[in-house]
Amino acid sequence: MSRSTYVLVLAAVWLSAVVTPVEAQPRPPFVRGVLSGYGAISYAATPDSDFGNDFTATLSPLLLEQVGDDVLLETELDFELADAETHVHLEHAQIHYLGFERLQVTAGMFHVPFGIWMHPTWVNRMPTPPLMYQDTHGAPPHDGLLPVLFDVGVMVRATIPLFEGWRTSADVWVTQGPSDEIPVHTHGEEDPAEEPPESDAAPLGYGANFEDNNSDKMVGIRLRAVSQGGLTIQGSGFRAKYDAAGDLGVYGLNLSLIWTPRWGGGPLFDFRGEGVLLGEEYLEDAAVETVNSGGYYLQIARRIGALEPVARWSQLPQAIAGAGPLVEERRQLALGLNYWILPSVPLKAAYNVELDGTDGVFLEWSVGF
Amino acid sequence: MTRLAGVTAVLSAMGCAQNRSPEQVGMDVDGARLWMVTCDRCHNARSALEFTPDQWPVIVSHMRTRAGLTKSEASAVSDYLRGLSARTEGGR
Repeated sequence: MSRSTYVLVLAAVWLSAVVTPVEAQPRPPFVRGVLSGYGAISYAATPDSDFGNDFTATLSPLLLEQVGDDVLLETELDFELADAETHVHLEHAQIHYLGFERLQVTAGMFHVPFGIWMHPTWVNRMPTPPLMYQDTHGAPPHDGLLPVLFDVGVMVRATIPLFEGWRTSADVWVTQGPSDEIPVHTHGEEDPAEEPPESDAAPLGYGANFEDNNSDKMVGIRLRAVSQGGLTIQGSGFRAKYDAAGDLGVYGLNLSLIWTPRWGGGPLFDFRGEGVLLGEEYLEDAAVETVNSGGYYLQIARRIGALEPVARWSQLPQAIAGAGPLVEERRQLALGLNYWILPSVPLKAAYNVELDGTDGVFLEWSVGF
Repeated sequence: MTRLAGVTAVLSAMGCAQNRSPEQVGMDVDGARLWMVTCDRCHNARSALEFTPDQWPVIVSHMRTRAGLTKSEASAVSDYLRGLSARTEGGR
């Protein structure tokens, strides 16, 4: 290339840059951040002889940082009132690679896709979680089978086109796994050491201790099919070892269904049901035994203008492990009424009828932002 | 088909189709349809006005990791919400 041609090419490149119309759509910044999240003010009362009643408040800021088109970092903190303190903990911190058409790669601390219960207060339609889940934001802790699972590891999610009119996907994850060494303060729950378990099987912490107590990891898979007609069916399962020696195992199975048939501009109703089965090995007289526990719930909600009545039935059968119950039997009918001030700002009220315990009244004002 | 025609009519009435290629309008309809049928499976759909055009791709990427959308589906939803936000001066 001669020198004059070289100069001409340079001039052309410079001119093309200078005369680009200002009306052209600007490319978004390379690094973009959004502060999102949710918060809630809750009131819970148990109308028994003591009439215990408490207000509480939670704030969960979610920081999203997208780097380029394909990398997303998301971090969520939880600020939660608990006893005389304010608890702060890391709900999740994860990096996603989104550069593939049908594949997502996630690493860090993430929501393990075991089940469908949504923990953000403005997303779920009740101020309390179903019986199977121990704790969610803004709700009082209570006994259950397991928390909404968050854990540290790696996950791959593949979207696979199998059937016309359906979106099918498969998630595979490897995480630290559960442990029988539960720290004193975990997710606002009660100190498990205060009330030693009567059963021979230990209550397990999931994602409660970030230092893995053995070399074995939790391995899990979720298969999900979503129809254009509003039906979601998914099954998920995991297995892991939970003790320090890596001898005792635990497995979990979950089958979930969401049905939101559309009518006009929105869902006619929102029905969701979920069943979980856990199997935990434990030692009884030096022999390895297995205790199976499980539970389910069925929930239906119907929007009528800004109002939304909700009803949910939850049940936990008793599970005995050796000398005593690992899980006490509980049956609960929760009746709720929501008033949606804005699409992400509900006022929620519920009365929980406990067939095996004390009823409760729950109010919650939640904001998603 | 009737629903798609309805969405197209609404978008056209809002001026979305003005000075835009048929491919871009088609993309909007696809993004609108996905936005309608995907978001409210789990939560009430958020208004396009709640975030700026630059924020929507980040929000949609976040939701893509929850809903299992493909990259092109997420792009369609993001383009639809970005466009709607820009045309209606949405954002925080």
